[in-house]
Amino acid sequence: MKTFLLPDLGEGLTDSEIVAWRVKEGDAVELNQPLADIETAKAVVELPSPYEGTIAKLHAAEGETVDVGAPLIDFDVADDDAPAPSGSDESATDASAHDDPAPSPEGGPVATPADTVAEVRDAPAPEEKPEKVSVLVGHITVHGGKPTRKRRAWDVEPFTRQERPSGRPNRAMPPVRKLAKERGIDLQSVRPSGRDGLVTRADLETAGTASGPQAQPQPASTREKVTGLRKHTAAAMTQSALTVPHAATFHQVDVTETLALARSGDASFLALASRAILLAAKRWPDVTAAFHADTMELERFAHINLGIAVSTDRGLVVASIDEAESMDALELTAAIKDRATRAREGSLTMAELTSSNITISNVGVFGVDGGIPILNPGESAIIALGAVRRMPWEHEGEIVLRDVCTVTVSFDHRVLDGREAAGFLADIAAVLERPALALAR
Amino acid sequence: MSITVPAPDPALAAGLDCPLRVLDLDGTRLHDPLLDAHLGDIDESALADLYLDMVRVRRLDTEAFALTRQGHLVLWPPLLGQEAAQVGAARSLEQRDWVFGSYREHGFALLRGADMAEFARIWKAYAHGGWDPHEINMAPSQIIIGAQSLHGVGYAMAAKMDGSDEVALTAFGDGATSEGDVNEALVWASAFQAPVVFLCQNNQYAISEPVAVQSGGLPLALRPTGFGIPSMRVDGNDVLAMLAAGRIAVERARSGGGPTFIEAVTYRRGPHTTTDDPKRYRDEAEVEAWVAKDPIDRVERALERMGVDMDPVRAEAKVRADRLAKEFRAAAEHAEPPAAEEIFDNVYAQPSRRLERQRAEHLAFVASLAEESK
Repeated sequence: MKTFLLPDLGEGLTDSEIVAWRVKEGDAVELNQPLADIETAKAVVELPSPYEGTIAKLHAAEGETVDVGAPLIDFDVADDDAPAPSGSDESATDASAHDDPAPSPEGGPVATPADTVAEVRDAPAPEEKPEKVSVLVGHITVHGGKPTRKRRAWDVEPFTRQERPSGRPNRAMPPVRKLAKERGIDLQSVRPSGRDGLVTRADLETAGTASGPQAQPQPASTREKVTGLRKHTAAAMTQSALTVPHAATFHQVDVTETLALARSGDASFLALASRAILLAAKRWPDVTAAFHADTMELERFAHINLGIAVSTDRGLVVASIDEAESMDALELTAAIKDRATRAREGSLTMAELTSSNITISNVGVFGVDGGIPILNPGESAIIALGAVRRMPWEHEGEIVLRDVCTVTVSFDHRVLDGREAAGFLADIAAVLERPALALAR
Repeated sequence: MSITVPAPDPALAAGLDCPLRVLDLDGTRLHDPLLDAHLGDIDESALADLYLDMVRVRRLDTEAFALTRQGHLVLWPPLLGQEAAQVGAARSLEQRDWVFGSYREHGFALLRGADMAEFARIWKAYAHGGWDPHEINMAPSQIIIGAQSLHGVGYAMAAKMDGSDEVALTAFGDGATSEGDVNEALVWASAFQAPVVFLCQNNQYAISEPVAVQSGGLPLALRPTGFGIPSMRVDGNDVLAMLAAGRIAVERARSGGGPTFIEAVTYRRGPHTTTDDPKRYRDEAEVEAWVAKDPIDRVERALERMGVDMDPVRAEAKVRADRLAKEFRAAAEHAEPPAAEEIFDNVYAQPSRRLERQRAEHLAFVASLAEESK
């Protein structure tokens, strides 16, 4: 088993996002076969397989951000070329390599079993055991044109230079050494995590807590690193909240007829509500426009890409149903179900996670009436559907129990004024109240 | 606005209208009187050797690229698509000649015989130079754009002063022709008639800038003519045309004819380096169009047309390329960082007292850390 840690794919990057996996667990892969598309701060790049073998485990889901140095993939590597022993030819010829002079190009080393030489001569290139460490030992040069057998004698030398780091004392920068002294921590007892075995401040924190044998008091607070989707959401929401002037408007709507329609057929209530939103958005096209502050431009889209906010174990994602205006309620029901399922699996594509231009958030599933949602970055409106409640309501001149739901629209006040937002919301409400109205729209 | 271009003297600028080519895309051998005169010795086996060179160069490049993605190297400027330009030019030189290249000259490094284990250390950021320049007559990779052109001209001037018949070749890209260094080098080479070959691999992009942005749409081969330096514009994906052009330029230089400029018209199919994303500044369709002009495919077709059975040639190329890739991978994976005190090693050719003192201070400081932490 080999664990591949995410390398720094740019210069000085700290993390990267898994855009798409091209393999799954259990797949057999070749050396340098593309395994994944990974997005760094600089580019989307292909990750070629570092081993030939089988994928035992993928440590991250698509869309997840992985820290540089964190485990990414476990491989089952059949031909174990790790320094672990078992390489009988290695140990067998070890001594002879030191004692015997370099073999002539034609004859193998004297003490080497004949089959070892034959193996080298006959093995097809991809099957050959890697020349590995030998090429560096004693600064022996690697040269493209040299015949394999010539190098054979050098292969058996052990890799000695690795001993050097283990004999070195731990080192640390002066402030860290001072801190260690203050706390009475022996630097040599700390496990260094920095480059070249450097002890860092964080290592002292770990050492400090780990070495205390007495019962630790319960800390007043704990901190954990915010990573992955949570980190994305934090950045997106901060950016949206701080750069977009939000305003919101609410409406309580009698959705009894829409709910009856949902119960009588195969279209879900959310899909029917989406239809109402899409019909309204067609009448108020700027609700799907994007405001570009850098160029002072308003971008209008030919289609309505309806984003569905989905709460997953890993956090909130907005999955787009592209060109939703061309779908009927049954198609929308299926599309919403598909997006929700795949959002929870983490199998949405990057395009599906980024292409929406208006978002619907069904906060009613949490039992609340509403709230003021923060806009999905780049969009001008987000609709929150509250819980549907059975409550006393005026209906045809009498007070009766009706199914009522609060609909909230948050909007970008640079794009829309109250008039447009209210008009948009009133149109949504009108269709939800009287679904038959959709026939006329 | 239109720019009037003075009609170049045909003897001074060959290939301006259409880059010189002797191998067509389908492998047909085209005839060009200028180049053919220098290809008389190229038979099937010589062409097959050039093919093997290019396959090995490409494999080194793609392996190094993968190693960078796998965290074993830190950076790699790929040359994918430029194999013919480098192999043809490199094979036009004698071993006693000198090469002064940029950071993308992996083909030159391999064919000049650079130690691949040391070469890997450069791109792992463990070595400043890597190979011994005097062992293979090739200066260390130059990162400063175009600076190596001055080094090459300087070397050529010195060779001329010493009365030696060595030639210097300096390789750079299209962007470098806009740098002061290259222009100064052209002035000096022209003024002193230095035995130097300027090889400009016009791979169409200075990182993200298309060449037309800096050239006004005119061929780069026109520029040296303004310095009085003869120039050839060559299909850089045609290894035979590159070999012939290189031989013409080297012969001129060696026989006292002075500098020559070669614009190799080629294309960088990969990113500028492993930290660049070319999709941000160019179309995939453009790349595909250049894949059709692949320098290696073209030679395969040419060999087939000559009646060569390609199966054993391909098999041989694969064995050699795999071996090279494996050695390079092993070297990259197992390279060890240098000790910090090595920073003092190559500052001056001769040891200086001040530097020795600094080294001793450094070692004492390191030792003091060990003391203190006991």
